[in-house]
Amino acid sequence: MTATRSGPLVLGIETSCDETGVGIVRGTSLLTNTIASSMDEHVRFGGVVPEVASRAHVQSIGPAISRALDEAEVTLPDLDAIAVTAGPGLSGALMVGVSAAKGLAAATGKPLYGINHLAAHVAVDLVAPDSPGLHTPTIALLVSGGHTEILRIGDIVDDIELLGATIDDAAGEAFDKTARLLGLDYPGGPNISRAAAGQFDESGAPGDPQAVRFPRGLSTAKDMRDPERRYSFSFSGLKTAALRYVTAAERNPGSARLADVAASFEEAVVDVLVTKTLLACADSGIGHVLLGGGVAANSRLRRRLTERCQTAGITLRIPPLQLCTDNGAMVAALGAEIVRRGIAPSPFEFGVTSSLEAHDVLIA
Amino acid sequence: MIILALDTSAAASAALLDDDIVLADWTEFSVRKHAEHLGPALAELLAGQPAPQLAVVGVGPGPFTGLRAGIATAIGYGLGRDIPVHGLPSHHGLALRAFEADPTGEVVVATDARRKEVYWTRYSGLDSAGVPVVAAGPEVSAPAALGAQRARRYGRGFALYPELLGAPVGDEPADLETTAADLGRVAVRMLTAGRELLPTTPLYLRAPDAKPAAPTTTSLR
Repeated sequence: MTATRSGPLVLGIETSCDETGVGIVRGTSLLTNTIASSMDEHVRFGGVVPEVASRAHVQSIGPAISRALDEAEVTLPDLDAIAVTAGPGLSGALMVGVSAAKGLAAATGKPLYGINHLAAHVAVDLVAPDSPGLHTPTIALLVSGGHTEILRIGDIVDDIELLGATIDDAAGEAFDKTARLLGLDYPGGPNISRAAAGQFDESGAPGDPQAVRFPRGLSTAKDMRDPERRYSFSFSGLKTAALRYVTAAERNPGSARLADVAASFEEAVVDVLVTKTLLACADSGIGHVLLGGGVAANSRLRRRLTERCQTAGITLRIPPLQLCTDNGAMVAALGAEIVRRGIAPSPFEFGVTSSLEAHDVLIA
Repeated sequence: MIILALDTSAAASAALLDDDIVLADWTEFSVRKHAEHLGPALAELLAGQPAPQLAVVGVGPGPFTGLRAGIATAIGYGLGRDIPVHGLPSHHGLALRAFEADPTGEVVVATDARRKEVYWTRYSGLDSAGVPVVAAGPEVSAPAALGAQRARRYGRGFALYPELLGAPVGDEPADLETTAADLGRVAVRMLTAGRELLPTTPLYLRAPDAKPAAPTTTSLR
């Protein structure tokens, strides 16, 4: 526990998808980041099943809150505020966290802040132990099983703009679906990376990312001229192209390597993510990028983003991975910043908003 | 003992009891947005009242999202006050109400399970502690499969499917949806008699609505 820095003591609750996260921060010091994941329960379904996630949340939420308090060595009366993800996310899952937060707030009389999951992914850098603080303005690339967004962050509370998002599958979802096609388990991202590294054909020889030229969604000259599509993503065409390619290759045994297909697929996803992020930087004149979301674990994405940011003279920040995936610390971090600025809590009757927009940082 | 009771199996409802005396209660019947309503109602209900020493919550059966809202609120409240939280079947509240109106014979409680089904529990009477005795259920059934009920009928299920199940005995909202006050009184009787309550795990009675993915293989190596 580091009590060297001071500031509001805030407990944050995150239940928008399959992680039950409870974090506690004091100002910009991260005290604890407790996570219970239901990921293993989703494996047999090949993806996150909202009802399965919600059932896990209601079982985990109480123990997660208790554990976080124990780990942070604080008690509820010590808290200055409670923050909870109000959206975007799975509504049944969000409902568990918001309800638990309201019960806590009703019992303790602590102010309650309903906050935005996307903004929280960025705000986490306020408390990352290896971070000098959140750099703004920044372009943020958020990539996970549920999200694929490019945001312009002028200020973490007052000035967030969604530049583009996926119009169909999230990038993580595209990994999951294509992994299934390749006979690989959920979660698809790490397994496609292993296949691309040649780990599944006993050769250990990495696949060639240029072996198959898979399509880059919404990347034609016409798409790039269209302000609605310039920063947007589409991965459904890529998924279909992968299906076609694999089906054809299976008819000609020996015509394609699994490692090549996996590497090429991964390259196609990463290429379009990185290209559009850099485009947002160039257009906005912002020379900083922050990466967030579970797909930040993908080493090809990290590598390509690092290389191309370097080439363009853009600084890149990737928080530690356990702060990139969904967690309660990011919610507490954003909550603490909002409290620090003296902003009033959310009205107590607020609900969950599964499609909460990026610029709605706080439910007010 | 001061007890906070919550139930969101159909209505959204909260009550504060001092043993079997209801000090304050709040219910919104036929509600859809439990989370929004329950938190503020709870804060208002408890203002100026003695602090609860224990919380109980109806664990259903009931539509899942609303049900979990009440359970999660109770869990959060219990942590916030550092008091124990226990569960009990939501149908018990309606059963107590039914046997208080008429202690003889059987009672069937049937509530809306959506998807053209009902959750039901059959009760044979009150035991020596005044707690409803379950004869069968809780289960989820199509109304046609459950069939016409000759026992006294309580719960929204009978108002929804009167031709198949028989009409409900009463049409007061509290005869159709469990209130926290009724459920809390059952809990008090159980606690007084030294009975074990349930954990806060919801009584879902249905598996999650998802099919395991068929394993796929590829001949690519």
